[in-house]
Amino acid sequence: MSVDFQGLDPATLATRSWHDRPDLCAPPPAGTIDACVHPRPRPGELHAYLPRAWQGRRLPAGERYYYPNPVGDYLQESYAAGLPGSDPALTASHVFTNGVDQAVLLPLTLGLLPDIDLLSAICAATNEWLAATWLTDARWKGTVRVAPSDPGAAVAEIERWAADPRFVQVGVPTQSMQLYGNRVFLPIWEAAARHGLPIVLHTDAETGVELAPTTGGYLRHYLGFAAYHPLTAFNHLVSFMTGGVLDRLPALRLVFADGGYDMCAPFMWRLDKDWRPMRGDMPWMTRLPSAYIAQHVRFIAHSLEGPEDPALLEEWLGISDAGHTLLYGSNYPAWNMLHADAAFPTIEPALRRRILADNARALYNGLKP
Amino acid sequence: MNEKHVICAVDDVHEGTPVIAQLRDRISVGVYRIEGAYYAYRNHCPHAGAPVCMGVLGGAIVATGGFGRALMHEGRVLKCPWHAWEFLLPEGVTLTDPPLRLTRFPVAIEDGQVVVELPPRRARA
Repeated sequence: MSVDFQGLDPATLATRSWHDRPDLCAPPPAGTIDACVHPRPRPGELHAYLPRAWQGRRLPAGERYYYPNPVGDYLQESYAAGLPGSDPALTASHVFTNGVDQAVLLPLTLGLLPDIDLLSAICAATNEWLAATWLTDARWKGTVRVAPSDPGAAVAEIERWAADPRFVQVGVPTQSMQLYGNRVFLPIWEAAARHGLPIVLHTDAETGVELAPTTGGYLRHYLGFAAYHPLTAFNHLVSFMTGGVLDRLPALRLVFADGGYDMCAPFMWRLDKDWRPMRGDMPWMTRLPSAYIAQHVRFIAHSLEGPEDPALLEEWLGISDAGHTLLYGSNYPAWNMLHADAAFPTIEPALRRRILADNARALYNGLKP
Repeated sequence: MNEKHVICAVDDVHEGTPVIAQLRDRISVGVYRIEGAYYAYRNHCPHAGAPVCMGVLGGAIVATGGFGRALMHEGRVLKCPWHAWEFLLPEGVTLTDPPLRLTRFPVAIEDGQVVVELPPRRARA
């Protein structure tokens, strides 16, 4: 099936990765793990994994964004075999380089839908598809996609895959009509924690069934959207804390996979400052917000976050506790893919090793040593 | 040897209202009566140096398991007037983690008077 790019040649839009600039790169440590790669079904491929009752149903288009990136959404080289991220062999050839030999796959699921049954069916089909196709290669680890808007179905989906060691986390969209600390979602987080599966949040496609991407509505341009949208994840983070989810579930881990790490430290300071006088509002929240972040929260860096000056960068990573909270992920095939050799090439080797290898290995069960 | 300072008569201190005294010209101390016993604290919040004894004595809302809440420690939680940090009396410790503590001085009752003991002055260099 051909892919419709609105009549445009993707090569003229897409950006080209720059990891061939040796002056900007350094070989990554052995055992580097790419914690964020986005696979997708080929056009029409997902239908075969839907229950019979849904197979004749048209599905919403996945490539639907209010803010199409003006320089292209995907890397030029990722178009070589159809939709970027749809060909396992091509993706492997781009991801498994420079000593990276394990990666965590995070498929998206077409965004929020009004029909929660259809959305849950899409999530279940996505998991079936991932297990039957990509996860036959042991270098890939998978994400169990669930639709939080139907907590019962989400729990059932987690239970369906929890014993399969190829799946190492549970994925939910950053977009949501309610913040994730609300009690209606608690059974989902309980199921994930029970099975030792971190929850990963990543922006999904936009369907109109979500809230505005900023509290001020819609910024006019992609630049503003790209800079701002990680703040939605912080809304969820505060909700997880103040809603008592993290106190109830000490084993729960949250992975923010779509940027925002560079905003975390000042945000954390703001929360810490006022928690003591405000704690009576949420007496089940018994610790400083920064303590929850250290224990429960991990970020994936897929673009250069923080100061560009190497001296300042290392200091910033220290201030923000990157040695414990930051994981490397390429975000392949996105336009801003971060190759492992271009990830923090100037920082002290032990810290770089934690970010590129050790932190992911500590977070996810089932990665090879 | 500790310095003894007579603050007031025992009957001058009422439950829920401290007597605040200035000692050695510059050390402010709040004396509290809690369930019949007397306690003295430095009038200085360990957070930001506020005159903590000017704060209100009340209770604290605590979790009771699940998402329940209850008002506990009524009359024993001192809320700092600047930033509303809470200190549980008589221990003088915050209810939060990591805990911070008020500076507490020994108190004795001598001839019907409340006597607060301060540590010896440091010798000037």
